[in-house]
Amino acid sequence: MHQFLQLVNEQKYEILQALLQHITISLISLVLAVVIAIPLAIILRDRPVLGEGGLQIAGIIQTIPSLALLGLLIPLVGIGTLPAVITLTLYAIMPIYQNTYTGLKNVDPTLKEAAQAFGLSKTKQLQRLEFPLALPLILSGIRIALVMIIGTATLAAFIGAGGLGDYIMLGIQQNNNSYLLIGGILSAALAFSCSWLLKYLSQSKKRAWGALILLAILGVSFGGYKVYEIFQPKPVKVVIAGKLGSEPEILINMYKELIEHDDPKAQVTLKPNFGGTTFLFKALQKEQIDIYPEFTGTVLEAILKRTQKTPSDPQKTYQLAKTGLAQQYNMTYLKPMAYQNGYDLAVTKQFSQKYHVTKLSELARVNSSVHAGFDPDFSNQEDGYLGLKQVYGLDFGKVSVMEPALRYQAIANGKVNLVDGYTTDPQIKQYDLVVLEDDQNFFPPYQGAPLLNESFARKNPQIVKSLNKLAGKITTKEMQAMNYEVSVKHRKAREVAHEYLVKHKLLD
Amino acid sequence: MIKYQNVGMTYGKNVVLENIDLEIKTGELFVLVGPSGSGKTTLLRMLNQLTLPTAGDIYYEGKKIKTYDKQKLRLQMGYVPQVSSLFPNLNIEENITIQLEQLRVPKAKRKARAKELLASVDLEPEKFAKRMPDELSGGQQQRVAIIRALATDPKLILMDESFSALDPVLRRQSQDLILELHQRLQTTIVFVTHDMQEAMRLGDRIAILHEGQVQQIGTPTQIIEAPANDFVREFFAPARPRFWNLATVCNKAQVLTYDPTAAKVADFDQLLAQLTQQTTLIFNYQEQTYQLSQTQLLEFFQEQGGST
Repeated sequence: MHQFLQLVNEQKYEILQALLQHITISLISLVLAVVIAIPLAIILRDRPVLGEGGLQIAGIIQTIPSLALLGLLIPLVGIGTLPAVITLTLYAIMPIYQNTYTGLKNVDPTLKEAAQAFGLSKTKQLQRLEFPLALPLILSGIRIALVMIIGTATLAAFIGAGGLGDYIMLGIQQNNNSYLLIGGILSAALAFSCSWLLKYLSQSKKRAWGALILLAILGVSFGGYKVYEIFQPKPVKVVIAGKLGSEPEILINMYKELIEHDDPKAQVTLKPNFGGTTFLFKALQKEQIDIYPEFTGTVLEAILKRTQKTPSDPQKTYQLAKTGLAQQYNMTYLKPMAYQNGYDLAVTKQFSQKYHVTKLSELARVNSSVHAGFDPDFSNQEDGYLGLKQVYGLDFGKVSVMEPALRYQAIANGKVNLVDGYTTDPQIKQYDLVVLEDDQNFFPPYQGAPLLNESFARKNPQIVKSLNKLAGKITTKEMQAMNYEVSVKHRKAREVAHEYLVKHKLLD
Repeated sequence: MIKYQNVGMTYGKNVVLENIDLEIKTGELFVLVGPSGSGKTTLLRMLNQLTLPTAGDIYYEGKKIKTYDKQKLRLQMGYVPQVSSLFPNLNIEENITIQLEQLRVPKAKRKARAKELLASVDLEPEKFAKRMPDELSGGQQQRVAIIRALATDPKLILMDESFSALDPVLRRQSQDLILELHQRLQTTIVFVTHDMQEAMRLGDRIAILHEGQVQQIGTPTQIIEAPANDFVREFFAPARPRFWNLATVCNKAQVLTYDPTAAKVADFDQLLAQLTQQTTLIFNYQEQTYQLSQTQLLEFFQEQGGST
């Protein structure tokens, strides 16, 4: 609890920003859905075939899982806010359309006929009879849509739209309940309070008009600001994204500070926890982002999809990655940093001392005493446990497969005595573990380096120069320590990054 | 004012109306009566083009009705539908002046008109103008529905089974109100009902419809005295026995506290026989004591139309 409150206090601005982002995405989607669904229902109310057809189509859209819909939209409109807004709008249309249509259809036919017999025009009938009578149902449709949008918007984080989903995703990624709580509680509270607010506003005409006018003013001033922005001279704008977790976030904060230090006019936007490898790479290809840090091993395996074994020499791996990226994708892969973030096997200090094991080659001796906790992927991959068995002659006494996030807890609690992991994992420091040396170079090298499009690199040589200051810097131990500061001690990535740059005089 | 000429209506093979020739004169309260399915409502709906005839023509003020603009035509007419059909989302004033609103009459004028109309049916404007329909009793709602049809000062008012859903007391009050308004304003009214007693009570002239054809047109007296055919005779048969029905006469009599010693009277003949001997009679009928005078009996006959 204490930890949770501390986290909230430290990150209040970030949380507030995520909340605002969440509200903005939700509101834009809601307004769009209202603008589409209500007139559509009005037009189709006297055309039952089309009207019922509309209900069916809206119903079908509803059954597509939101994550799938988000994914489907990526090739069409890319990533970020736009596909999120489109998806949420599509979802919200259904309840609003359904309720508007039903509401209009349910108006007492004798009243409708009376209105007709009085000689009221279609518009007048709608304005004075049908719409007011359908309004309560329409409003409840809007309320349902709003609650649904706010809930579904948490998924938008998966395609880089930001919002409270960022915290949920981070929480799952780092097995950090505090983050999960922040994302979960805030989105639930937001849905609840918006639903209540809408109910409150819809209870009287005055309140409803007040709210509408306020919304209009906000909309107009937002639009005005955007127009003003367009006519301002544009400084260099750089968007830097990072994968999930603390390490990429620390790195991109360093990139930002280095770039801004050398060019104070540059506007650098960071998108931490932006997504997985494929997602970020696609975003870079589409120039939706400009730079992101990528690992050499990952480039060969996941991006270039080489079938040969990744060479064990880090230098060779980097060269292969660099030329491959340049040839196939016209991308520039800058020089890597020093640290290796590859697979490793780690044991407790007691285990290492008791059995005198510090290298992987020494492990076969004590095969039967080992109780390993492995990530499901690692346990049955050729470049994981299967390969290790052959190269080092391993055959552990007992292997338990568990969720990545749970492995370290298991070893800390004494449930297992060996785990797989990554060399820069902060838990190594947190639980005082010993990483066994890969003395036969079995694990492929994973070195981080900034990846950018060649066109961008050519246009911005200054930025390339700034980024290259990190080449060959940051050791595995240093990275481990920084990850520990951020994900265990919950310090801000920006501060940790800044301290490193100052300490190593990279800002001079 | 209105002339139906050889009007027919068929839905597919189903003949709803056939060879209708009718004339409705200006200022008349004209009743279309007939059992359900006789086509009377269809005939009314042709006047405001809610239904278009498949044969023949209808003339309104000398011009074929189909040459009028639908909306303009309807705005010239008042309309009182079955059940009051007030718009539940509009207040009384807005309900009354809805046609004026469509005609773009300025708001101040509309308010004044609503006030005037409310006052004319004994609803205090200050109290009722801003109320919502569901805050009014059934009788008050009915009155509002009627004055709503008067808002534009129409030359013609259409009433479609307007009182059919009301309880007997309210129905009678509404009929009285219509008779009074008609007398005062001399507006032409076409009134559709399936209730022959209502027809007799309201109609200056009545047209009896049956199976899509007009059976007879005439004043209530003409219809009772000289029914054109068996259908008309049958249809209006209940109107006759009413005069000889003791329960109906008792409505006119004064109710007294039950007196077991009073003379028992079993039917209308016995009552008449006794009343010829004494000017005021106290009698028991169905465990109830009544007092009836010769004068009251004569008044009763007069009210019932005095024509048999």
